[in-house]
Amino acid sequence: MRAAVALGAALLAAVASQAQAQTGDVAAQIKLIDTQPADLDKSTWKDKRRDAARKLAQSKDKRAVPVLIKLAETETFDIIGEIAIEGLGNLGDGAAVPTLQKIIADPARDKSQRELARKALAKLGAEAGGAGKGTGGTAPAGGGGVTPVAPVPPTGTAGTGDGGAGSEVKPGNAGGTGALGGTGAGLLGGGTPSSELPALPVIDDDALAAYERITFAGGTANFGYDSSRKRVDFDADIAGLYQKRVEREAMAWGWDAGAHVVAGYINPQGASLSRGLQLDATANGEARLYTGGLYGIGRAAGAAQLNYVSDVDANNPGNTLKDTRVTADLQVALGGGYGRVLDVGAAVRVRRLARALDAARALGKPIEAATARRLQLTWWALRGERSTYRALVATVAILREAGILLGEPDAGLSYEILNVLRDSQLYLRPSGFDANLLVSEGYLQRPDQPASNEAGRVEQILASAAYGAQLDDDKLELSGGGYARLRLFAPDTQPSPWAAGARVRARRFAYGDHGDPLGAIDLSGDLQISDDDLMGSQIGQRVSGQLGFTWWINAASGFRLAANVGEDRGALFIGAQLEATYGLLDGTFAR
Amino acid sequence: MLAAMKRCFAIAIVVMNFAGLGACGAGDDTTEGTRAVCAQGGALTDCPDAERTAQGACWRLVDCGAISVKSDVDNRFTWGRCVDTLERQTEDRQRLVISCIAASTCDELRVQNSPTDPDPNNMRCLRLGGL
Repeated sequence: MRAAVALGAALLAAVASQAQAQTGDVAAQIKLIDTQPADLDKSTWKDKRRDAARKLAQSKDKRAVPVLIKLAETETFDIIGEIAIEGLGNLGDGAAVPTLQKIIADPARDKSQRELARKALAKLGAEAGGAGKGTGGTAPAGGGGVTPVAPVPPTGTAGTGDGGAGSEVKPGNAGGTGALGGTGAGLLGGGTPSSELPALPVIDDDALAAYERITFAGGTANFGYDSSRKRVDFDADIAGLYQKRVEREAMAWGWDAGAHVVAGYINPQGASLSRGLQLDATANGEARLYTGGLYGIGRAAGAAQLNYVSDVDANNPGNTLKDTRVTADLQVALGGGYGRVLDVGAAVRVRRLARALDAARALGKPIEAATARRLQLTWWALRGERSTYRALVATVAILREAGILLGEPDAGLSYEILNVLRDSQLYLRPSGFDANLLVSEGYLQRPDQPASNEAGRVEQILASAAYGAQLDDDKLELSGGGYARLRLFAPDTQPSPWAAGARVRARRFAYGDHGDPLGAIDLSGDLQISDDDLMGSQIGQRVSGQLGFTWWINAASGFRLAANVGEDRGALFIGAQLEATYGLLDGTFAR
Repeated sequence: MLAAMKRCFAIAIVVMNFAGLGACGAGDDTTEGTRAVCAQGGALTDCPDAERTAQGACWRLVDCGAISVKSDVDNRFTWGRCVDTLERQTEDRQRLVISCIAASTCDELRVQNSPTDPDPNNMRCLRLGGL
């Protein structure tokens, strides 16, 4: 009997002790969620905070409810928000119903969060909608009266600004947790959740690189008439080019097509009249099959040109020219090569982004491959936007979702992210080495007069090489390339010309303290050699070089100084250019 | 240091050799100039965009083997005369000629007797500008 009493007392003591421990645990978890311990760095604290939220969600302790409600409402970009939403369903407290309904009705929320809230609400026995029912406030668990919640506008005007968890203030940036500094659905994070981004381009998982470029060069288009000279003139120069390329581990392919139109009409007073049209259309395709670094390559190219000119010479009718010419090329080439050169501009942009976050102490962890891919494809999808706003909002949302960006960015960091997104120095940044040799067969259609040195079947050997490297935190670029071609099997009436050349270039990019592109220094050199293989023709060699310096003083002003020197078989050409754009720097005030 | 000097010396010899090769050629004192990658070879050899200036357009003509760089023979249509011709034109005509040259393939730019003694009256882009 005595033993039984002792055992019962021990059990009671154990249960009481466990209850006390749990009570102490809950308080400790709440404290850990609210305040970052001094001995934990940001990243570790974020992890422990999530663990604490999970424990609170399983605690069945009523004190956990307001804490989880606050997390569910404010932590829209960290997984802790989803832990809280799920936990509110487990805790079974009706006080969470309005918050869960608000989340479900919020279009700015991620779809997965809204779905979790729907499930949690179902556990509480409440309905998601219930328009017109109830009077607001807290509905009891299982009660039918719920409050309709108006959808939150997709663009907030200010963050919640509570300066709580995750809010990061960069030293030196005035303002602290201001409009952009709050947690949760702040100005940037609340604008466009990643789930509402446009459809991302479909890129194979094993793609090393890909691009799609649409270039429209409006050139010039002019029309003029004056009654004094009774002169009409019109000219237009318009070109468009589409390029697409995909680089995968085992293969690469790409194609491009373009058109170029030049038209002119000059009709001065009198009989003189000049008019003409130049129309060019081109298409190219290439495919490579890789085995390790080696590859087999096939290329095809087609081109057609129409040229019409009519020039009436009023002073000398015998000199009048009216003619239409049509030329066409169709060629294929096969060969092999080694290596590849990729345009890594988008990857450099991701690296610059990581550096900007790291410098602002807002980088929770390195940007891993999956997030880098998502960022790049999002930028690709938004490339047609006139404004960078959506790209900025999407970038912040993706980084927050991935746990990379710690807290909503403040004004200073937002500006630096924007600078990275707008950096025009990150286009066409080559990396790698590539060399190939091809043998081509083609047919060139040329007019009979004047007789062309290249007409009919044309065979040739084509060689090319390219190199690119991004160095010194991507601020230094070294690139180069070479080519060689030789016509083979030319008939006796036609020559076998050859040409070879090489080019090297170095570019050094400069940035300001907050990522503003300041300019670049570029140095390049070219060497070309050729022989037309015509009677009495010469072997030509040209050496040329250029040193340029571009500097943007501010958003409205800049200049470029360039010097070049060239030598072509003894003829020396030296030039220097200074181009300056000065904008007025206005300071204005109006009441 | 010695290796670097040897390398420079070798480069100098190569350059001198190229100059020597260039010395044999046309019978008169005409410098034809050097062809670019796209001067021959059809559509497989892409041309970089020509600079939209009078000098740039005339360099494209040299690159394509349509005209020579310079000549001691009077009245030859060389790079220098090409630049002078374009710069004398009214702005609209000059713009048209430069655009036409930039859009043309090398084969379209060459005329009879190119590059040593071309007749500018046969050059279609120049005629488009009302030469």
